[in-house]
Amino acid sequence: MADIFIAPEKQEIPIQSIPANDTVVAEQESINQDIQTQKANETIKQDNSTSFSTLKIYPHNVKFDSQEANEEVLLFLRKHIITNVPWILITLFLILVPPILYLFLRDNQGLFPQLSQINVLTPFILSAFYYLVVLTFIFINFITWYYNISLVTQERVLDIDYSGIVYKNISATKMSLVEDVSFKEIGAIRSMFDYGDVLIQTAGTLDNFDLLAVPQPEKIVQFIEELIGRNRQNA
Amino acid sequence: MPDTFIQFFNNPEHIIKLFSLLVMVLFMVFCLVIVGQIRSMRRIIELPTQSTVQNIGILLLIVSIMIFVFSIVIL
Repeated sequence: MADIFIAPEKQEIPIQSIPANDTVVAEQESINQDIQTQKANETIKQDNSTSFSTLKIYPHNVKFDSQEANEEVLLFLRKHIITNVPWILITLFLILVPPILYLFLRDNQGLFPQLSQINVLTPFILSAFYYLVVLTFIFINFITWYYNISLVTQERVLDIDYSGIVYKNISATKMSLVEDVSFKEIGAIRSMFDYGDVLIQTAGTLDNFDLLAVPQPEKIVQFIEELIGRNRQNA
Repeated sequence: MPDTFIQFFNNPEHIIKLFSLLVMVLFMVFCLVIVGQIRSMRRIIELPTQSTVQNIGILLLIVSIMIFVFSIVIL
């Protein structure tokens, strides 16, 4: 009776060839990555001058809590700085209200005779409190802009929405689930300052990602498309 | 005791002062919430200059407490 459980003879694989191939592949990958990094740096004009930048490629000092050991943040996005102009204008108006009110009341003392009975320090306290409220208004608007960020790693896209102090929404999707990336840059101001909305469409019933008012949307779309292409090649 | 209470609230100036103090207390709570939110965001994401932003929040809270104490003394 023939023994069917005899293992087939193992073909000897030269041991040195595997690390040699791996080394070649790794070298090739690193060269490709360097070229792509160089390309990305050339195409996207990033703002490295301040820590409050709106667009950063390969930011080394940005990390998030669910980040894996081999996961690197490739793209860091925030709303364009010009989107802060409306609340800055409102703040300027609010700062000017008390002096205008003071000048108005000084010139029209007859209109409000009961104001002369008020303690001298009361307007001082009230105006200090008023300016504190204005400062808080500035601070809230600033941190809303500061924490509304989007991150792109080689594996996923993260979108952190933070607004109204108590609302925060963190959503993420894998790069392999991204179906399409597009952008829209509508309006004269957006065209002038080169910022717009990037829409990342995901597969199936998953939520789409809207990266709102990000600078250089065209270049960002190119960057993400390159990443998707690279991921598909690797898969 | 009830007479003193009624007498206190009969004066409109007292009501205004009490109301402003109440608003200041609410504002302090609001500042505390802001600082708490910044701390929670720091746990989620690590950004450069984040500690500076948190320090500004704490400073805001301290200033609001100072104004509150000062207003209690003055008003």
